[in-house]
Amino acid sequence: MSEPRVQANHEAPAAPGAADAARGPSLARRRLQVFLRNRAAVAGAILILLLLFVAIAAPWIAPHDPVRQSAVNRLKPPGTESYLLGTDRFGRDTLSRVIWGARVSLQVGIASVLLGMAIGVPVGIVAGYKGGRTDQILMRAVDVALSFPTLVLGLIIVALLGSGIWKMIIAIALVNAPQFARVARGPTIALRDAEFVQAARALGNSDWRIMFKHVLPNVMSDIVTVSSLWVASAIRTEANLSFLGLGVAPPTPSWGNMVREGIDFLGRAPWLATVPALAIFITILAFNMLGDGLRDMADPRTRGQ
Amino acid sequence: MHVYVLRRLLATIPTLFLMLTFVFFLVRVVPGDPAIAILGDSASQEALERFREQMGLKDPLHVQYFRFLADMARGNLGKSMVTGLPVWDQLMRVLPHTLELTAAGVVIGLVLGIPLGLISGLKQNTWIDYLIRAVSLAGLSVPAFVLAVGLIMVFSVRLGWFPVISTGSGATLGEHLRQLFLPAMTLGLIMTAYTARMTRSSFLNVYQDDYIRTARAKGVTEPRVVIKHALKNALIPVITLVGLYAGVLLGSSVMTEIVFNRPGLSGLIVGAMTRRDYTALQSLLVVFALLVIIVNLITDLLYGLVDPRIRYE
Repeated sequence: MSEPRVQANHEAPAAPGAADAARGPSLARRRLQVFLRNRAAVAGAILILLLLFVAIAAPWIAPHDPVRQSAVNRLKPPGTESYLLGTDRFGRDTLSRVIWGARVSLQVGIASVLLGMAIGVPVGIVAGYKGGRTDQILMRAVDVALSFPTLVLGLIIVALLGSGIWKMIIAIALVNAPQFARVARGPTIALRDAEFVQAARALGNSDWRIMFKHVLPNVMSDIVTVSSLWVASAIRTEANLSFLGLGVAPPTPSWGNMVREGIDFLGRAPWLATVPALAIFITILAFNMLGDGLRDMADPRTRGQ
Repeated sequence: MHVYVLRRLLATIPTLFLMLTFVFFLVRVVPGDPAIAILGDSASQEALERFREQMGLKDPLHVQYFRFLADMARGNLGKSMVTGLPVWDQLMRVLPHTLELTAAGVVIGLVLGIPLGLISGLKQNTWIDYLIRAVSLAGLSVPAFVLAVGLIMVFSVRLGWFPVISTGSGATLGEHLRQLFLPAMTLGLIMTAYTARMTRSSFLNVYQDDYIRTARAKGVTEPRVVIKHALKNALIPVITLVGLYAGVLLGSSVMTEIVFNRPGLSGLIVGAMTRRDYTALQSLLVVFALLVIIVNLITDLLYGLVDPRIRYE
């Protein structure tokens, strides 16, 4: 899948240094160079590493217990001693809650994309590879699933499964699975008639073996490059559901439910809603910046555009 | 063109049918007994039975299914299990608010997004291009409710220009627009980001085409080349974008309505879900999906209209 794209490189007049890059050592190395030149993507990657660190190290770096209430410390403004970002109406430390909230967002974002791929990609490959009626039926089902706004589907699935981190991961994975099916189908159709697939068929490999040994790895490279964008979208869905009160059950802090709780205090204690809101925004932005960079890296035609 | 329209219309029939089936079963699998949810834990066994009987919940599933299909085909959205009021009436009370909000969002998005995308494309790789791209990426990354909180903080809490809560209507046109402004901006700015990005990349694609060079060679002036030749074709994918994001936008308008406490579909759907109001919920979901299907259909038809190649596929 990647070879024809590299050839497109030669046709791209806008790509400076394309010629000497083509003489360079390896495709991976060249791609890394392209990636590193994209400052936004690098910034996104660094931000994500930082967020991952915060999420993993939450128990050690959070200054307070995120769920411990303290009647004397209610609605303390940011900057109050030992409460850098203030406290909420139960006297819980905003900073600690935001730090723990990173765990929920990243866990749900990343796990739901992996699970969604595991469900959707095989469907897309089967549809694209088998073609004909199978394709029509599967894709029509995908169309119908996609005619419901993500949010509404998510709402129903969460209502069905109940709340909790794992249930949310399953809900978001199910919501996104049809989209992965669609993304996987396109390249599969192109690969179906590729020479190496025909060769595999001529050697007597079964359809299933071809689909999963030969088609899948090639389709994955396309999917991995957009996965960061999907994580961004999954984190957004998680935030939306939590905001609606259907996500992770309180008192476990998640950014979405923190904004929801903070909204009643916009006048008196604006930090309660704005701090987690900023956290959501920055996290999604970081994954999108990385995702844009990865996509450009895989597709030299968009380089420099 | 007629054939194309007809074919496209016929193609929506199986989609509609599948969608109805999907909604029916989706709503049935939501856990919880609606009779208990509505009448309460303390209701007598008799009352519960009578309620199930009245609501047709005791009929076999396939009977309920065909009744549902028949009702929907006749445009009968039924009555709410909880309030006993026709769903249609409730819907008609709030739908204009949601449609007004969504439409305002689309208009703002196109009015701001197309020029921004065009400027960004024309000034490719200059500081203004980078700025517009950075702002667009930020717009793509911000969930509606987060942006809504930001706008409220700045324009309502700090500056006091607009109300925190949007009642959805005002006595005068000015007041009405004041109520609409912040929620519409929330959606509009997000839509602007999508539109600007799409316009830019689509414009850049078209701008390198041979026919643009031909137009220039013929002596067509540059502004005319940009507007008449390049932009006209560059906007085709933008049309698809609007259709594609209709669903997203409707979803975002739901979130926006909640932040601003504005009347609309969101209240009805969330309310029906929490009250296990089966009948209302399935009708509302159908309406929601129908809106998306209609927008997609219109998009496809427009697409066929502006790009004749599509019609003959």
